[in-house]
Amino acid sequence: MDMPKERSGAAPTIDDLLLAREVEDFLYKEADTIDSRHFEEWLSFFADDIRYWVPIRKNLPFNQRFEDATDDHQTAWIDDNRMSLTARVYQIMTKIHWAEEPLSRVSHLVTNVHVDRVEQGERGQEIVVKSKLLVHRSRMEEAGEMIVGKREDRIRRTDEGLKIFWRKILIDQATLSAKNLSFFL
Amino acid sequence: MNTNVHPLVDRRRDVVSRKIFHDQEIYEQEMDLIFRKSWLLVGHESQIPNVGDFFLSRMGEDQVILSRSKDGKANVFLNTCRHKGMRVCRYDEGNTKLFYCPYHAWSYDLNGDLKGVPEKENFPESFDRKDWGLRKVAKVASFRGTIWATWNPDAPSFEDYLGDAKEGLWYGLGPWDGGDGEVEVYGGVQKWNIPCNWKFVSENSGGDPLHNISHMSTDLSKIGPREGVGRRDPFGELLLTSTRNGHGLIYEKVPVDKPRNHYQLSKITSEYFEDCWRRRVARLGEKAGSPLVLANIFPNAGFHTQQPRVLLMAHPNGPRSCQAWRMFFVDKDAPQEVKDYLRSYYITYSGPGGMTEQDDMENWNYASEGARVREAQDLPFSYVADSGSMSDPFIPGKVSKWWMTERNNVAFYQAWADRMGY
Repeated sequence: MDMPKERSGAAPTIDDLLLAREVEDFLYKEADTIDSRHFEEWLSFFADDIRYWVPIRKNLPFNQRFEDATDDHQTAWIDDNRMSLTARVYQIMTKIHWAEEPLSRVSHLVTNVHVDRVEQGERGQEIVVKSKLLVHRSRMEEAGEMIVGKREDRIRRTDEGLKIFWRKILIDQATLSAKNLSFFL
Repeated sequence: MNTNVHPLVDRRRDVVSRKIFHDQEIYEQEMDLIFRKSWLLVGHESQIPNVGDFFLSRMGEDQVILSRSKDGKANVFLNTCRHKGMRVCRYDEGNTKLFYCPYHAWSYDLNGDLKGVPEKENFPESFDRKDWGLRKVAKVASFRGTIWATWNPDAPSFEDYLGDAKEGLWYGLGPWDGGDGEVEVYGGVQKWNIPCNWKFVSENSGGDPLHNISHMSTDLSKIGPREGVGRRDPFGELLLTSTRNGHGLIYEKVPVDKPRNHYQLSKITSEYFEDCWRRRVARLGEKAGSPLVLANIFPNAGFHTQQPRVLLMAHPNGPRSCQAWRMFFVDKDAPQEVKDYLRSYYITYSGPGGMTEQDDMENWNYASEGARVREAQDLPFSYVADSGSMSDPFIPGKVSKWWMTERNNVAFYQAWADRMGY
């Protein structure tokens, strides 16, 4: 994980607080949308150039503690672009995606949300937001599985509102206890 | 081959008892009679290229260290200290000179030999370090980049063990152009626990194209590398064959006189593939048109060798649990852009996040539950579908031309029953 950025001593401005509330609301609304099974609507939270990336963690020595996840050129649990993310939603809508038919019951608990930094990108303001994630999935009569992790979202301000264009989720498990990731993290 | 009618594997009726998919006692016998006797996949040369490199692997339920020693050889030994059993290696991969036990500081070299014990002067003279090395496998073999090991000193050579599977797997594990180049495994291993018996995974890898129908949702979602295709580029007619050791092999048959038009969504990948295909045809002639697509090397090493390209270890993890390890491989000489494109396609297809394999796990999970249904214990599973057989100049053994057949699974359970002494 990246080192938390050093904070300046200055107190946050009203604008900082408004931005923090705005992105919190946005992320909570996104979680509500997916948890309430509005899959197609959920896609509208993401930009066309979305990268949705879940690398794999490894057990490594202390001196590699900041590089214990697979990189861009290595394997991942998931590494979606707009096309594959849309295909995943489409697959659920076929009603014969047996891992999700009947649908799993899923809850996303998004916490520890904070704006890490704000940058000016080529396509508009970019807000880098960090959060923690606990996803619970229950299926059939089973109590279900919990996946816990850290998330970094890069969110762009566009004419159509905020859009996530980069999402990286570092889950704590190196060996996954879930039989599959047919639900969205 | 024995043709007994056994209550667990009935070779006359081609039915198999549900009991073998959940019973603890049968599972314990499998560990002894199959996993301690067979050749098992433990890794790939590209995971330990340099002296000192190691990869923490697994044989059956047991953790093993795969290491590259100073003589350049691959070694495989148990990851349990001879003193009090502690793990001497707790990292998934790395490079080292010694494996050092945190408990009482016994240390072992890259061959698994005991190098040091603290306070050596307090050990009796009869204590000989040579007697206290980590338990080594009986044999290690390297085959087209893959590394295999067995605890069985009487095991046949690995190539003999492969038998008729040898040639298909040789090309299947090599580069696209059918030449002598190398492939490499992408860094990182997908490891996950599936609530199913390991044999469902083996069936899936080597003998069950019938379950294709369960992937219709993936086909409809068109994740394939060509605009508007299903989950893969179009493939040829599928042909099945099996070996007497219980290996299941699935080949495809495609014309060699035209381009494949694969990977059109990535121009550079498409050009690289078509160039390889041309060179493959020039090198192998007609044979190029009968590549291996899927295989299970008995008992639990699974391979997709076309789309995607994967190695799979389906580690038994108790009668009702399997720990799958999924690795992806690619031509070492392919341009980086090609490797990156294939990487994303492969992981969208395979593994727990893979749109195809998710449904497999659902099926194996609840089929394993079904195997335990008390009132159904006298209702065996059916392996009767048989589409007949023929011979083919490029595919060994009796070949099933029509792929809606259980013939490979029958061969798997015959080999299984032979090993179990049934």
